[in-house]
Amino acid sequence: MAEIDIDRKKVVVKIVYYGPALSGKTTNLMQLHGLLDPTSCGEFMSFETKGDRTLFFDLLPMMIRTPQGFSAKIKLFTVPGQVAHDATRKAVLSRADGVVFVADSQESQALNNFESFSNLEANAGRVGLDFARLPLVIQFNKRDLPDIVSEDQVQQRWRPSGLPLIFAAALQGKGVRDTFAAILNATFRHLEDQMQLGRRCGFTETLFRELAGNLAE
Amino acid sequence: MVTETEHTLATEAFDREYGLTDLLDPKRLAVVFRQVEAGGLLRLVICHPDGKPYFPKGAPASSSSTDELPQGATLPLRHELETVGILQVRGAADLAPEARRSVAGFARAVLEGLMMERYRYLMSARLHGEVVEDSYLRLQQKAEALAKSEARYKGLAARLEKEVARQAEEIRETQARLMERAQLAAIGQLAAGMAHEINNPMGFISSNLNTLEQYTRELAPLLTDARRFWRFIEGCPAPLEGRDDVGRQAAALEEAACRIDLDYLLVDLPELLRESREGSERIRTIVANLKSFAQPGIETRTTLDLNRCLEATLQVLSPNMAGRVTAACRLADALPEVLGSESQLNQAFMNVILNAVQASPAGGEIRLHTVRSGDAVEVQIADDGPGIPEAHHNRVFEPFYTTREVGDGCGLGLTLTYNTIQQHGGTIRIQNPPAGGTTVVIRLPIDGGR
Repeated sequence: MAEIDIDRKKVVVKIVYYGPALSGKTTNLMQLHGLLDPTSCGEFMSFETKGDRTLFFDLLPMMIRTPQGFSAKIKLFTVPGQVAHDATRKAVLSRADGVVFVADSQESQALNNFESFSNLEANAGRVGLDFARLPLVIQFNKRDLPDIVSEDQVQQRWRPSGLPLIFAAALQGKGVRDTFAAILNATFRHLEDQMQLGRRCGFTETLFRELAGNLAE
Repeated sequence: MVTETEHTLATEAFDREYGLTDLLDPKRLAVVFRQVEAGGLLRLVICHPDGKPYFPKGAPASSSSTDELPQGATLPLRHELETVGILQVRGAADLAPEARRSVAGFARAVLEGLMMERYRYLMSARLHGEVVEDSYLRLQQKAEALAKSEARYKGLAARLEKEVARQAEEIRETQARLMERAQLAAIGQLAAGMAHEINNPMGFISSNLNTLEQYTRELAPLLTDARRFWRFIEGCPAPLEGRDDVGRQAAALEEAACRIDLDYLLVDLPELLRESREGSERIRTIVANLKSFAQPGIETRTTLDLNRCLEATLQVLSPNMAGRVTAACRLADALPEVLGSESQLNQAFMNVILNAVQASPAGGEIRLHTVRSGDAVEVQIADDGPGIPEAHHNRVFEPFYTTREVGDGCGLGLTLTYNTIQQHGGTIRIQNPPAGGTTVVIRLPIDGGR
């Protein structure tokens, strides 16, 4: 959970891109980095040790500032999707304020999506996140590939969860911004609920929307 | 370069915010600054965002500095979109502002590079720490779970050992019982075989004895008449004419008759034959019993009220008891019916009760008791007799084992009883109650051992 540092007038918000291996989590971050205004977006960092992928994750920091001089640093992380790297996945998920679940639309990946999602639920429990109230957005990526699960089927399966559902082709940059806007929105509302981000620091939904809105598709 | 202990690496969150003191290591700064300051012209100072000097330690704060900083001498140090520190290029007051800016810019690039490198290192190291810690915890949990299951298996193994010992004992006992039964069966087979062999000669012996009795009955009066005759001849004063040796011959016959004691012989002969016939009759009975022993009669089974069976058996035996012994019944109400052969079971009860009657002293009492015991009915038959020594408890079921006078029983009664009870899936055992006498306990399963 984010904490407000009143002395430094600063809030750090952590958003984690979760999902099975090779579903396009890193691509989402790289696309965002390309689309974002350089003044509000930091350096894209990929942590990958050769031959040992246990430390594999990406980080993209960005910043929102209020007229009152408060700043919100938003850090986007990706987890390693490989089943074996559960400990790293768990560590990266810790303290998340919002999660984007990037699913692979290919029919062959249906089982991996399912396993990764239940792994997310299990790890959320392990690191003390209230999964039922955790801001969560589902992205079905790779809509540009053949042999994918139809939108109708995806809708049918996921609509009952009530979670925001976005279709994307991250390599083409499609749906990346919508996904980001959706998770920013959900996370802001949750933080507003929990710690009155607006009343105490002057953050508004508009400020958050602008960050995503600045991105041109 | 590593300033943290392993402990802080493992316990601090890898994704926390890092500041100037985290990202710029004074030892490293000293190396870089020494090179820049080697010419003696310039001095580099790094301050916190609020202006307090960070490195070198004890550098005068810029605000209190005597010499005002020239233009281009100050640059912010940025990390992740934030200013985390301020770089100042001091000294060489006459240096052209462009040159100073170049130096400052170069120094900032080097320092921000160092900071980024340090940032990556710290995040990697701490995340690694978290992962290792987590893996360690999981291993520990696994070890605990293993220890628990090991303890459980140990417990199971101990119980299993006991269970195996118990079952081994059970098997041993069953084996002993089977051996005993097999022995009894073998003896029974042998006896039955012998009975068959005995039966054949017994047939003609009985038949011959009958004929012999008949011959004896015919011969005896003839011999008596003949004796009377030769006595008459012997007693004649004048022997018959021309036959003076007749008297002598009659005297010789009389002498021979006296020698063999003909009178007694004629009396004893029918008696001997009668006894022989009785003896052969007894052999016939024994042989018949032996045969039924080897081939138990095939009989349909019905559901039986054992109370009624016992009462009927007592009725049949009442002549044998005839005021010498009394019977006391304590029979359970609503006794479940037992599947079995009525005549075989009645015969079995009769053998046991008869034994009890014969063992009882005059004025003794036979006590019959029935009771339900789980899925079985228990019949107890107790007497006030002398009791059976413990050592004989198993032997009483052996064929031909008897303690009675010869002729008073052939020793097959309890053997037949034992077989009948076995065929009904039941058990029979002898008890010596402390009060004396003998109690025979027969236990019969309700389903007849099916």
